Amino acid sequence: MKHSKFSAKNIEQMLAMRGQRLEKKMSPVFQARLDRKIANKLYELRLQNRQKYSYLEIFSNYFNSFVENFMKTKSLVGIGVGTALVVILVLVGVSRRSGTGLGELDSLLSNTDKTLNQLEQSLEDLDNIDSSLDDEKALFLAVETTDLDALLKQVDSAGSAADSSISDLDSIDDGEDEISI
Amino acid sequence: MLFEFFSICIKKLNYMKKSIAVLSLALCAILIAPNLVLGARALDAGKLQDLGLKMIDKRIGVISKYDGRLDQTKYISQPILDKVQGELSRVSGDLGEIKTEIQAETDPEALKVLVKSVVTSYYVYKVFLPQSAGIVSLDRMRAYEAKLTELNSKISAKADELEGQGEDVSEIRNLVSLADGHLGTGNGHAATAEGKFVGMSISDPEGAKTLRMDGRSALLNARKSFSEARTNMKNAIQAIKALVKPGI
Repeated sequence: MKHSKFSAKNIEQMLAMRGQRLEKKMSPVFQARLDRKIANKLYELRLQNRQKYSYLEIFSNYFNSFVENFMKTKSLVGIGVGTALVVILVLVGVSRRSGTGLGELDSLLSNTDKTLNQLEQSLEDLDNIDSSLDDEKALFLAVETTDLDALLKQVDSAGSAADSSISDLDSIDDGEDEISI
Repeated sequence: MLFEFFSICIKKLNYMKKSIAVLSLALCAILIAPNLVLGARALDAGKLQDLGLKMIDKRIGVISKYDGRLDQTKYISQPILDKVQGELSRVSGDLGEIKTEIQAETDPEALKVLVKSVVTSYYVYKVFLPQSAGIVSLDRMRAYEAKLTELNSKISAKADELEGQGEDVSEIRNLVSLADGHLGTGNGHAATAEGKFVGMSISDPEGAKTLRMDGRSALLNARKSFSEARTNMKNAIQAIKALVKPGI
């Protein structure tokens, strides 16, 4: 078995560097998931390094061969495509995050506007209710006042009748016939 | 004429003998005296009849006129209207019967009694009509009082409603209380008037005249108290309106 020229420490450093580059454009969720995967992977590597170094060697060999093969091909196109894919993925992620945030903001703003509209409508309804209550109160009391006015007219009519009765009483001449027979 | 006749006779005594003159005077006295006495009695009966009929017609006319006015009268209770109109009808009917008796009577003494009864049995002007008018006037005054009491109760109920809505109705309550006081005072005057009018009797026509005046004064006092109550109520209504529609 061919031993890898990269130690676990080297791999850790490399992954850390790579992670730092990706961190800048990653969402916190993805970054957390990545950190967790990296941590798990490191733990696994350390474990393998201690117990079964061969696994590390296999991984190192595989990785080394991959790099070597990759370097051999010197495929700029591949590098470009890979970089482009990474950039696209990152941009899409950021875009999705931004989009999601904007959507949420829009939703929040929409909800806020809706809430404000509802508040304004409620206040308007409240004013209308107050106005209606005032109208109702005024109408109700106006009817009662009209009743009082009508009754007061009847009172005045009865008072005039009483006055005319006193006039009737005054109009009676109490002079009886003087009979000298 | 008789005096002139005697004067002429005395003058002629200067020329004639006393015997002839005395005979002439005696003859005249015998011939004229019965005619004078009988003529006077016949004239008195006719005059009494005429007088009695005129008195009755005048009274029946006044009663009928007053009865007609009562039919047009508002704010009079049916029991009082029935009672007063019943009395008017009764007195009018009684006078009609006396009228018939007078027309049939020729005896002056009987006529004198009948004619006097037209006045003394009813005292239509001095007692009956004033008493009737007083009772009617009192009844209408009480109708006025009843309307005022109804109005004051409504105002009080309105004050309760407004107070229930959180309004300050102390001014209204004060006015209602004042009106209540005036109503009570007026009611007392009305009761006094009733006593005066009910006390009027044909047995004491002069006393009835005083009672009539006293009853009238009591009615005017009641009217004054009720007017003051009305003023309080009108102010209370204004206060209610001010609470209902401030600024109006």
